[in-house]
Amino acid sequence: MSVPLVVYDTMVFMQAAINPGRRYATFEAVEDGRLELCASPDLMAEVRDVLTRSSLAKRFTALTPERVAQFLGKANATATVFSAVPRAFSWPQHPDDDHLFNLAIHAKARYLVTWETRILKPATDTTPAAELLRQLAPDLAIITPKQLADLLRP
Amino acid sequence: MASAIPTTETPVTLRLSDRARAKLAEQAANSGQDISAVASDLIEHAVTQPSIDEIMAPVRKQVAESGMSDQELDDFLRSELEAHRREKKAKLS
Repeated sequence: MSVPLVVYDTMVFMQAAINPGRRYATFEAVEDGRLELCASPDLMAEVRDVLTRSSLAKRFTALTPERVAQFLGKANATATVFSAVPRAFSWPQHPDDDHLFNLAIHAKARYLVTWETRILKPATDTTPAAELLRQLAPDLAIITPKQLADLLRP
Repeated sequence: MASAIPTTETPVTLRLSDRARAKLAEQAANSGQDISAVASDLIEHAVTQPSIDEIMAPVRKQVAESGMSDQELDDFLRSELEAHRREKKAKLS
């Protein structure tokens, strides 16, 4: 049986880095081989750019660029990185999140995991864009980290 | 890398899934090394490098000491992500 592929959004990565209480089973499931993490240069660059913003470093001085690089190095080492992700889909209300949907489509991911209502919305929406997403990724489930943890529970 | 420091031959028997075996073979083919060398590097790295929890422990300590609730921290991170995206867009336009 193949291991399900999963895409975590930028917030899930950031929570895994600094607030493990909110990550549920997301990264543990990747580390113990129950899920295979998919990443892209766009996603990893966004996580890096936000975690190294001066406002974060000012509030949490231990969040140094070196530490962020180490964190991303570990995450990259456990992920399958898709370097060229075609732009097959755009979510008109929030095109900033397109890179996540396109990664999930290209990787044929089983799960896109997010806390964000705007990213969860296409799963239940009936707009043409949401219908297109379901056509492009018929097996994709867009769920929260908590829902993922419930699914993974034996 | 394992080869840059003194090493000792350590016979082990690996029990791998088909998937792990295929990935190991793929990495070996891509790097021009044999499977033993790739497996040695991976084990060396796994047991000597700090885990994500160890790397991020000082940051998490500061977060805990800040007194921010999970929701406040989420809101803060979300606002930083939104600010980053706004700035990126402004640079591109």
